Amino acid sequence: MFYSIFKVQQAKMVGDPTIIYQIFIQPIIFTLLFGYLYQSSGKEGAVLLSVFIGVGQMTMWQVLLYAGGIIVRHEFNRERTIYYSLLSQTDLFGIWAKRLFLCILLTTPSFLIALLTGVTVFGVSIDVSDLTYLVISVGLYMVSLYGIGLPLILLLFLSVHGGKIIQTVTYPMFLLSGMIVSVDYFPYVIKGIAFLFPITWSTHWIQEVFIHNTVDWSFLGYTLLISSFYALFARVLYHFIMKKIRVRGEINL
Amino acid sequence: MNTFQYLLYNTKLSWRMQRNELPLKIFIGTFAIRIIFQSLFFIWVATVIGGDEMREFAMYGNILIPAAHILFIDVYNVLRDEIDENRIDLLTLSKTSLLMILIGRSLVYFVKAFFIILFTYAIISSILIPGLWHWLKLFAAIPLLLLFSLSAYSFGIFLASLNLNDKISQMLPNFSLVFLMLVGNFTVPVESLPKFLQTLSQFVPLRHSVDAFRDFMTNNLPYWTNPSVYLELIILTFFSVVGYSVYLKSLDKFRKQPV
Repeated sequence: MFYSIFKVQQAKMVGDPTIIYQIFIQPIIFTLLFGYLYQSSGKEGAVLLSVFIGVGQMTMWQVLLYAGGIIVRHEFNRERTIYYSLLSQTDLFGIWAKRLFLCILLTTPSFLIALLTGVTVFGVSIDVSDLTYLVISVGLYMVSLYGIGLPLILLLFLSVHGGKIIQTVTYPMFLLSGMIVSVDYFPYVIKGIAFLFPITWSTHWIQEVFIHNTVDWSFLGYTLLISSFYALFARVLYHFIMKKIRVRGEINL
Repeated sequence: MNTFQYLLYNTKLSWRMQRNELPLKIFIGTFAIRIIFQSLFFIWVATVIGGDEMREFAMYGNILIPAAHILFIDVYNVLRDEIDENRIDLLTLSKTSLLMILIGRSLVYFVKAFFIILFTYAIISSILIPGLWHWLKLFAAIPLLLLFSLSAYSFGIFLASLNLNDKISQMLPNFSLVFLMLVGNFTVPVESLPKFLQTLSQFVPLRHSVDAFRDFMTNNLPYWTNPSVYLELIILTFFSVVGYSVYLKSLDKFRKQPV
């Protein structure tokens, strides 16, 4: 089942030019944009590295949203709804979760490209311990992205203009998560809101590691905990949406 | 129907197409808010990084970004749809009439761009610029904003005319926008870019009108004496001529081999 989903999904994604652009070109341009912006103000070293990580995370986020949209548009059509109506809710959520997991995997090259561009163009050096932290941070970010992505992408079902609405909902969320500017600069209230999202925890963790040389492992636990809450919420939301679809017999709610 | 009536009809059609494509409340509730939020975010990032000087630099660039964004992506989509849909009325028209239609549409787009700029300016200036006198300067800069929107329009035509391959052209506007943000002197000062990007930025549409707008609003430098304006006119003319010629060629292709 996993392999068959992978095969179909991969073909859909690779055939879409926008996603190719988002994975391979956008990270390069955004890394240069923010890299030069920070460099023009005399920032270097660890600060630049954390900006590149932020850009990588940002492009992962964008790829996920777009890829999620492709799944909703292409896979959850009328025929599939009839087919899915034969399956149990648990099976259905399992399929949805697997599809999104593959999207998360698909986002990783954009992170690597952003990082490689930044390190090469701006001459930032990284050693083995930095590399270890980077690997942990990507893993952590993927978990948090998965957690928050599960309910968010489901919003695409809610209306014909779901794509536009989801961007509005997610844009502030992404800006508040401190990927480009650390949440430390935020006023307390906004900072409090920002920490409601699991991606903020994972982003803040790696920024603390590189900028303040503080490794707080408890952040990992918090990230996992909050991500699980979002995944549970997605489970409930999915149940609700599928029930609606079955009653109405159409996708656009 | 004579050419003038046709022009009027197509101008109305262009307006209607834009309205139908996305209902107004969805447009304001989603796209507009998102890109204004994006402008505010970029200004804030610039302030955090470089202080007040950088904030002022980023502010005037980011007041114009939403309009440029909406404008050239809109123009691009409308023209590409027309070419793709092989509209029979376009195929029977003369080149002059087509040109008149494009000019008529440019006015519609200018009105649209002006309202977007007003909206963005109202939000950003209410947060960042004290007093009210700067509004007079904004209204005095209307010819400059017309130049800016024409430039975005011509760039949209140019992009749409590059209808070489559907797959490439789908991602062209997004790529162009992000690239413009890098080399267009909107948020990042071009002086901080490497030499080849600085050279490239001289040929980028919108860049010089942004410079002139910034100079006018911050240093009170009259834009009619600013060489950037004339440079922008040259670039705008180049993109318009090339865009229009390639657009005609695409239509000719459909005339010969209708889909």
